[in-house]
Amino acid sequence: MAETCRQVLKDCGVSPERLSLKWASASEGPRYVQMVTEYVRHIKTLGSLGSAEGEAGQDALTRLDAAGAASAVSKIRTAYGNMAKKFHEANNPDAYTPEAMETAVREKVMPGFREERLGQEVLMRLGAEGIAGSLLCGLLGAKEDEFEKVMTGLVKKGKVKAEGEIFKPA
Amino acid sequence: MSQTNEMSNDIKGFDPKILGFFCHWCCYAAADSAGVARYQYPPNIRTIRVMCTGRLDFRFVLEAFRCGVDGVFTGG
Repeated sequence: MAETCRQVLKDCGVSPERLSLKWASASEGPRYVQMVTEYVRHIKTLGSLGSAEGEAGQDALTRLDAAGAASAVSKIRTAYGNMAKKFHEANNPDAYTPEAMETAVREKVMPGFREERLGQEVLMRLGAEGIAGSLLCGLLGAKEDEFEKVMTGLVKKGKVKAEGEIFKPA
Repeated sequence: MSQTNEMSNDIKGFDPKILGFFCHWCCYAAADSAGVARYQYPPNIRTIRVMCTGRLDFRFVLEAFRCGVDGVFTGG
């Protein structure tokens, strides 16, 4: 869960350090206080969400929005579930190393997630009058082949129509 | 949202908005005991209690960031 979140945040241009996962047992009040104090101090040095990411801040917020929408798509949920199931079926507690989880998420979940997120972002960025393909690709910060794949997918699904260079909402 | 972010940054000593997901049996109890023992700690965390940290899903965290929090603190 945390690893997926971190990689998605990174993909959106947000610092993955904004998510923290820590442990304190019921009797560890002082430890909890120390953890919270440190974490709040760390977030203060990072700055607020959006503005801390510099000029790309607004883009990062749009991307987060798109990622949120993408995370509800059943295709992504299935990929995530299957990855978790593989770990479970291996029936080996030692398999849950940070490295193994990082690789599994990167290979099994992220490609589909990124594609879906780009698709959602396209739908968000298309105004009523449409937008030129090259401009849109630049806004997304996507590679050309990636962009092509996402756009053909959206056109095929009938969510976007292409009029020459201009893409319009269907 | 960007406007509120800019505003909060303008105020001297930026006051982050942090969402906390706390396990009912562990971190939530720890927070409770810290409160009873009158420890001082920053008030920036808004808490959501879950019955187990395993209940969390990456959708929750993404949704939180989507709503504009500056950080998500998960306490198991």
